[in-house]
Amino acid sequence: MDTLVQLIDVTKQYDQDGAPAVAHVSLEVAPGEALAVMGPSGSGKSTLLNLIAGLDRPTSGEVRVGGDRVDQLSETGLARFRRRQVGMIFQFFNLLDDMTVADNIALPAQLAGRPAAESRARVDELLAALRIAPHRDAYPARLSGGERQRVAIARALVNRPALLLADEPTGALDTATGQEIGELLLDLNSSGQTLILVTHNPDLAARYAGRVIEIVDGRLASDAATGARR
Amino acid sequence: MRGIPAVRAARSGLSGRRVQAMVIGLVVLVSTAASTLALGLLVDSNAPFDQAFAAQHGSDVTATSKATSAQLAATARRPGVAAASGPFPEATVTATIPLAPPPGQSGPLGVFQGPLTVVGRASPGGPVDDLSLISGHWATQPGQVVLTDARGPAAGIGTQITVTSVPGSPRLTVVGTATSITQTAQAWVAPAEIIALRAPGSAQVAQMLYRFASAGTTAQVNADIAALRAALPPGSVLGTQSWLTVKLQATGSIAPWVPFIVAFGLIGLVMSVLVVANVVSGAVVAGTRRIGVLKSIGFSPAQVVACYVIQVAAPALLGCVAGVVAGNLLSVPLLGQTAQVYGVGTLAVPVWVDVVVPLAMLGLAGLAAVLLALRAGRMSAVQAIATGRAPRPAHGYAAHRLLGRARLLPRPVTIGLAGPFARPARTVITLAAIVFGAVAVTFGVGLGASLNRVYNDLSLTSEQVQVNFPGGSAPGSLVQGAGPG
Repeated sequence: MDTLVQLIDVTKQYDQDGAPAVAHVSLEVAPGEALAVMGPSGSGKSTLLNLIAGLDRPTSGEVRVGGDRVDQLSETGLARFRRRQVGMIFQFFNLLDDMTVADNIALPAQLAGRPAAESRARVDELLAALRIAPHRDAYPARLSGGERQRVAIARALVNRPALLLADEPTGALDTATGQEIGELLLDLNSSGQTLILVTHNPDLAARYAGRVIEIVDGRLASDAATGARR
Repeated sequence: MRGIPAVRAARSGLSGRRVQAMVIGLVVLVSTAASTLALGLLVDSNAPFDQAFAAQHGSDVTATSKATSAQLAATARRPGVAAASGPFPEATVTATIPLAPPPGQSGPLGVFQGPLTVVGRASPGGPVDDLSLISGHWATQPGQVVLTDARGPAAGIGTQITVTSVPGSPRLTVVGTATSITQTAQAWVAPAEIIALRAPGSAQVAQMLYRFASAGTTAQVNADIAALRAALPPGSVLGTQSWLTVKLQATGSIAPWVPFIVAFGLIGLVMSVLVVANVVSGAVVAGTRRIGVLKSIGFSPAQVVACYVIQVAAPALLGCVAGVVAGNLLSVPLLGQTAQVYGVGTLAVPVWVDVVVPLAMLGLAGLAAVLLALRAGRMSAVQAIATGRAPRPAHGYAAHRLLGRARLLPRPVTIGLAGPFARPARTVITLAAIVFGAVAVTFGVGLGASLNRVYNDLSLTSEQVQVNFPGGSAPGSLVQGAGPG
């Protein structure tokens, strides 16, 4: 099996005296796979995702994504890695409130040095695909939670990343909107997008991921296929 | 170009935080104005007499002589004479001057009666003793007079002076005030006017002003005077005045003021630095979460720094430009008062201060932004986002716990009191800025009031007055007395 993401004995410890947030986790994710990371609050799910995204550095172990050894990249190297390899969706959207929807989506493409015309075309394509075109020039504060999350997904996808990481993408949404976003992620995965999804919702994991791992006290407690549709 | 996203992010950051941008701009404006004023005061307080002497081409030696104009003019070409002005016709008159009340007071103050050295000059300028015209215009018409502004009788423009020492008691109208750094006269009129002011039978004397190649010491000045006397007919030099004597008198009265004015300038500078550093650092710290978001979507640390430096530099630049203009405008009255106290005519903010201060303020704002953005840029994106939401958990915990245990105050109050301990560095800078601000305000108000009082008192300082006792001592007796007030 080809491997897109590989974690080898990864540990993340914030306090020297405290328990590690992630302890000796080894994991492989294949291209096109949809993996759900589950576990109770504080179990280390988000930390694991941040380590894969290069948003945080492991205390020990190796994190490989694509051809990059993420744990050894410099800050500038990590920035380049995040632009090209990963798209990240957060529970609370993390949109830039002082930029319009279109500008929020276009910013990572501009960072990646894509030509302006190409960036604009890609933004238009995503706005249409995610059904947020009418809000193109609106500011995020004027949008509903579901619309904001769609903008965040569009921003994450603008550079066609190999890996899409979603940290509780439905956590701040009502059930119906959460389901909509879940379907959207499922569609993306169906079109070949590799997806790692952190959730504490077993239904979401079972419905939208082909494989579920469970983290308990920072350790990998289980790793199983769900048989969800693709 | 990779820098463009940083510019876009900075631009949107500015438009989304207009109040913050305005606060930065205003703080930099006020600080630049205060620093321009403070540094101007500091520079002008460094040997003010020497600076004014150099700027106004003060006279090394002022000679009063009854030699002919041709003889006096010939001395200007003598070896060792670097520059000369004159001869200017001179007369010593007895005048009656109604004194103007000090600013803020009303009603007639009194009358000055005494001798005045009046010199006839066609214009205030010249290679030696370039007079500073403080107010009004130069005396060009008959009946006009310009009074000295420094340490002389305070008479406003339009005041009528009566010359009692000549028949008919001619009247002169004050049309301006001027300062001579070497105090070469107390009043100036058009050259032709002098004839009308000379008492019948008095000698025709003239004033000659010299700058010598060597006049740095008393011995050198004495040698210059001796050479001058030798060049003119014996007994024709009636009097000479060395610039060193004038300097001694002037610096003696300036000296007590310099430390206060320097202290005010230094306090202003320190306060400005602290306030700018505090406000800019606050703006960047408030944006830490945004920095985390920018990093999470692929901004490099350098791009984060660029974004925040632009975000701070844009309003700071506007503040600097407006601040240096405001500083110069504000300096006019304060430096004017300081010049009065120093007795040096005029003081101005040096041009280099107008260049250095805004650049330094801009650099300071940029440096504060760079340092904090670098720190935030080096954090992991997750840490930046978390830090942006709340201070680090360990900070201020002890203060929270201690204040929480003290049941003397309501809990909301103790939470507020413990708040500053969460960000101790910023708290210290804020406290220091407040302390310096309070000191600066106290100092500024006190200094302004003191300068005003000294300025007023200078107008009422002791003068030589001539008192004629009916049937008593001979006319012309001089009694040293205090002026009104």
